[in-house]
Amino acid sequence: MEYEKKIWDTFRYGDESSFRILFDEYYAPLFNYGYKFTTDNFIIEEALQDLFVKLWKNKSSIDKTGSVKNYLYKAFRRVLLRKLEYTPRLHLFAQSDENIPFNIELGHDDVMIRGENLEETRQRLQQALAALSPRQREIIHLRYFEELDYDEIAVIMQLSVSSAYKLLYRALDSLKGQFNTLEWIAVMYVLSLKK
Amino acid sequence: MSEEVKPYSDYSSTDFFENDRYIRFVLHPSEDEARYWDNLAGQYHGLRAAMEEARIWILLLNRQKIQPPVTAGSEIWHRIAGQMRQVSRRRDRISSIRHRVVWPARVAAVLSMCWVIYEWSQHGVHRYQTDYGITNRIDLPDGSLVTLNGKSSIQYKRGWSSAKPRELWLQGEAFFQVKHVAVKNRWQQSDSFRVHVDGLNVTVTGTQFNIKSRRSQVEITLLEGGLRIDKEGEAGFTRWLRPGEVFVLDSIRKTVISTPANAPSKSAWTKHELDLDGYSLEDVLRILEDSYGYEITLRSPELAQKRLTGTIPASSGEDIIFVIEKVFNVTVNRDGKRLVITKY
Repeated sequence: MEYEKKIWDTFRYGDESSFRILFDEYYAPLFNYGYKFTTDNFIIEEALQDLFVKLWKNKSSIDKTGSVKNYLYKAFRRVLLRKLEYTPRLHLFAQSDENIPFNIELGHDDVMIRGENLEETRQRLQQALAALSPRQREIIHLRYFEELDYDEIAVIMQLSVSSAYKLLYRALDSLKGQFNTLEWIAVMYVLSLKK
Repeated sequence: MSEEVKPYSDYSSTDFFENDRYIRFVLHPSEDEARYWDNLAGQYHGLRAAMEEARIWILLLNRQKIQPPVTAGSEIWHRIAGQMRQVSRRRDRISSIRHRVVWPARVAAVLSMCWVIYEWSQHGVHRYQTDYGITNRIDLPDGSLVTLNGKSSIQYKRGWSSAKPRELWLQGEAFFQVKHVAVKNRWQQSDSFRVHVDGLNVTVTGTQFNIKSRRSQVEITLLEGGLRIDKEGEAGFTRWLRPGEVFVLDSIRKTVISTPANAPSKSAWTKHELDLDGYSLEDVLRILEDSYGYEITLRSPELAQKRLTGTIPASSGEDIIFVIEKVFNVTVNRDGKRLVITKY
């Protein structure tokens, strides 16, 4: 982390090789994050290009940062979402962030989770996630996939910490509700089979 | 994440799912934590199943398939780098336009002032120049001695005052014997002797050295004393030379310092001799061209790297050509200063 901050500082002073290191470090993770919003890789690549060109252009006015990752995720998210809003071929109407999709594709076939009921559990979780709003899914992703805390999530999603807290709380609450009804449906289903 | 403390006995899968400590344990398990959660699971009925379900959810979310980039990073970088160049070019253009608009009057004023100063200062400039094949000895005002080789020049400003370093500008080749002016043990900046040659500043701390600046290559040989070589600007550097060392800045601006055995011979020309140790035929032919003004064609390229030893008289180019003819068994056809060398 300290090393990364140093790289960030030398980049701000105009060192191109440090800038290249940052790019190489974050290209793949940012692409992966972008792919959750859209499967159109051209738009993601364009957003990444715009982001890095803009960073280079404004390098002298960029501040020190507590976390290079948070800074880049936030800036990339902003560039990508603006693009998705104003791309008519994907969206007929200008949309607010609220409606920009976010897709979580659950993992499978991992040594750690292989088990008897895995496929069933996976489907239940997938259905519960589907009932969430895109932004709720996004915060779940940032929490469990990127392993970020509320402060960091707030920075990236440009929310206040309390709003981030609320958003995650509602997401979890909704998940809970979903699990319960799903469990209920599952129970009914099993019961109906037994009849 | 819930603020109210809920007893573990009431925990369901979703409670474990949102428990910070449990999430950390699932994603980064440690033995201590494993013992803690295992112990807890043993205390209440049903907790183990809830934990296991939460563990699966957490892992399903964490082990998502990673979407690799479609286009190679190097390709995207290439595009970014291209736009980075455009950014800096555009910036240059904008600032140059600004300069063009704001600065013309001031630039004109500065230029005319420079011209006045230059004209005025020229009155005080001494310039010595030699033609091909001629060497010349010059006594400098401070008592130092400069020997100029053929087709070379030095110039310096008249009246070296004792308060400033002695400075002169060199083109071609010269051998310097610099006189100490410093009071013993009280050396100061103003006592230094400085030669400017092809973008280099050579600062002398007393001594004998040869500078050869030919064909966009500079070769500085130190025989006695100490030398500091500075280059200013972007690719600037500083090098210190010790007696016997030869510094070379070649045409592609690479620097090399070596201690060749023939260092002392670098000044042999001042005694109208050519010390051939370490020189190839090609080197000798170059000397003929640079210092004696010949234009030479070597028809037998295989001879170019042949070497000789010994010292030959070199008071004129003819002396050298005579030796070359005899030693290498070649015919030298002359047409004025044009020579064509073919194998006999």
